Amino acid sequence: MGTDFFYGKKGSEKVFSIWWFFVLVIVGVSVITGVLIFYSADVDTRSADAVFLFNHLESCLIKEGFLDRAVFDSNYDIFSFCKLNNEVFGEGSDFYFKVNFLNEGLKIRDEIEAGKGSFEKDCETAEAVPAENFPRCFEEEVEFFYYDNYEIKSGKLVVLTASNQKGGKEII
Amino acid sequence: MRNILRDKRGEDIFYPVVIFVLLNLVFFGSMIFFVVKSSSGALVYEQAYAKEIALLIDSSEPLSEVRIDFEKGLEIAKKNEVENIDSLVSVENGRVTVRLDDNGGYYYDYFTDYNVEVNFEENFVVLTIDEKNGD
Repeated sequence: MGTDFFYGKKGSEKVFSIWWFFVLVIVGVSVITGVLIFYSADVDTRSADAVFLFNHLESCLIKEGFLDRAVFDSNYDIFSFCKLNNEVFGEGSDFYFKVNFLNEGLKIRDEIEAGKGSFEKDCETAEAVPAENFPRCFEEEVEFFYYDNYEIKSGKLVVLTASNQKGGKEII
Repeated sequence: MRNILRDKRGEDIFYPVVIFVLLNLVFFGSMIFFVVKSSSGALVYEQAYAKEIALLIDSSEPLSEVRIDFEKGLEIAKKNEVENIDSLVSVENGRVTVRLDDNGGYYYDYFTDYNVEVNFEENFVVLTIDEKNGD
């Protein structure tokens, strides 16, 4: 056997070049995969969506600290009153909102909600555990005044908004 | 004369090294080309512009005018030979769609029910936001 078995072989450079190409292929595939993952990643704006929806509802319902009187009308339509697109909140919606009108814990009118109803429960779940595919939610309470039989009373608006919209690529 | 070209002692180490260096240059050049092409591609900017425009519409009040710097978008569209500038950005029925090439665009919905007009002024997209007629 001896040392001649291992040393003085003329074919060593050709064997190593095959190994080098193999390494190049691995490096190339890794670079391409990494770049594709990076540049196809989404910028997540769902939280911003939820906050903007809250701001829109709040500024529509409360004017100068007072709850708009139209809210108490029996045929009050929040979509036309607050300039919301009811098609976007229809079937298969990626949005949700729920507005409660309270005075010391009691409702002063029926709550208003629209969008995907399951988001309310999903928001509770998303608070407890990290959930990438669950909606991003925003909830806040805002105090307001309102008239009740010519008497000024104070109330609280509790608004929950949610968005699970990720956008998408048009298919031609 | 033959001896000038043949039977040189450096032959065995010259050609493999040259080929090795050339292949490396081709390989790394391809990688750099791919990375640069990906980073300046349409998809990234389509997504960014669509989301920016939709969020701006949702956070605006009626009778607003919003100007967005669209220079990079125009550059990409020109590179992709998109001729009709008016088709780059469409805002209708609650959806913003930005198309910077001919492979379809990127869309993002907005929740307000405003009337939005889209115009181009030099390198800017100008959005004019107003309430719908009859409101």
